[in-house]
Amino acid sequence: MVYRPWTDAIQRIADCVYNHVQSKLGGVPGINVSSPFNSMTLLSFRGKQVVPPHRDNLYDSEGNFMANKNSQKEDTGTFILVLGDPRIIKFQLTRKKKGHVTHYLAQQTHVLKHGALFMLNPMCERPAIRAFFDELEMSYWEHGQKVPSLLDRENGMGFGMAFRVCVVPRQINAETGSLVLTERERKWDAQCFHDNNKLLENFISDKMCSAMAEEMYESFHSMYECHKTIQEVNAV
Amino acid sequence: MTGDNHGGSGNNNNNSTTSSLCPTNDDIIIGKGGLLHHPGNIWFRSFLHNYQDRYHGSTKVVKTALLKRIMEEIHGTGRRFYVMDDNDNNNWHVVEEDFTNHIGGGNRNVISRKISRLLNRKKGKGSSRAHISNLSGSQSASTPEINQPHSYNLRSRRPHTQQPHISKPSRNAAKQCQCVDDEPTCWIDDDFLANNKGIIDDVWSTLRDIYCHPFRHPNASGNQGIVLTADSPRGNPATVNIVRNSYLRQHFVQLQRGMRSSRKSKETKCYPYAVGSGMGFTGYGSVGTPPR
Repeated sequence: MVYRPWTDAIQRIADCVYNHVQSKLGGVPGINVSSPFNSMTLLSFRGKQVVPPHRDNLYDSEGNFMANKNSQKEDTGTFILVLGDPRIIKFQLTRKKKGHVTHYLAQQTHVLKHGALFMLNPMCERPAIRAFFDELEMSYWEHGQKVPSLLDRENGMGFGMAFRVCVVPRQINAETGSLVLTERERKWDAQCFHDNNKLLENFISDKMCSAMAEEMYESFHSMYECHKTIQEVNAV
Repeated sequence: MTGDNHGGSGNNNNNSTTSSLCPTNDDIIIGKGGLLHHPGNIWFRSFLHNYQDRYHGSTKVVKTALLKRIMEEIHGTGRRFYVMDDNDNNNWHVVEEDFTNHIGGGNRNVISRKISRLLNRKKGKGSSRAHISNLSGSQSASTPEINQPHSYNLRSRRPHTQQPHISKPSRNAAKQCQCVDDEPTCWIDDDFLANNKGIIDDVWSTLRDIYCHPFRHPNASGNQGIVLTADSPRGNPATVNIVRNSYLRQHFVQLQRGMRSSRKSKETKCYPYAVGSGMGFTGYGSVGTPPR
């Protein structure tokens, strides 16, 4: 992850979105729109890239917000300004243990067009008894899908400016903009590298000629070595 | 919950009470002929529809427990089961049942038999699915409205279920997406950018930076460039895009007062941490928050 400073242009866009949101959703119970945005994540979608089903915020089994596992402020929504080619967002109601709810209303698909403002309801991600679908077990809505979200899967390109209110601070390298990792993260990082490496080897042996493979493999290693050096410098 | 007079007829589990009152729209009528569109029956079928998935494929013990629970639920809503007198069409009997005993097996009474018959129906067969959207009609109007999925209002009929975090949509909200139990998953304002043309230049200037300075190190492009990076604390390993098939993101964050860092250093800055947590830290393959 690379973090970049908040620019004036982004501030103006954030103000515009914030004013719009306050006027439209100001009175809606359960959605906190009192804090201005302090984070913008630029999402990029290209071709066949996939956004797997997920939730933006994590809750425990009783439906309580887990403050130590979320960076976002509780009950604040995610507001995405959609740009570029149209894409699809799919909502699926899910039970924690028994998987997807199979009711035909437990699945919603929306097309996000250029210029639209998409507002994710924070309440829908919270596990709760949704009596219409299941009176016995808690369920929650996930968004994302296992197929490419862009309608044009060949040459499509789309962006999303996701505005949030984040309350958890992190150390970020002033020069590179990358996170300063903790000891645990560094271990996780090494494990991921190991897994990635194996997958990459398989990928290379299956699909690529040897010359390309070597080049790519070298590139991957040098990139990782470079990154590791940066992290070591950060740690010192 | 039932009528004032409790007569005695039938077997141990069934008691029929002759009542001078006709069944209301909330009550459920058992019998044949033209009862399909009775609001109470519509509610009944759609109520059972919620249990259909669970009922199918369950063991006999579970089915029995489920039947018991369903009957207790219906009992709890205050609805009554009516059956018409075979000889006199103006006479109605309230069917009483022992809701706690003798459900299932050979002693099944008329109500539990009806429930299990409806639950055993295949999905989409008959009219239960078609009428699931008629719930508002079942409560207020004698003529149910067809296919109005926005008008669900079941909570008033469910005394014991809790809806702790349900939000109600605002009247002035933009296009509110299809909702059930008054819970929209999202709102979409298709014309936001068209109505706010003042920010178009800012939007495109931000996006243009991506094309002008693609994949460039932040140092190389000053504050203007954007480094496309995968969602990983490792920075920018290109291989992750092949392996994980995930999407790319870039964070812009604003320094805020009140946020203090534990480590004071000139080489680091303290920013709000933004990831859009995704599925949480579950190891490799997740889009989630790395541990802190």
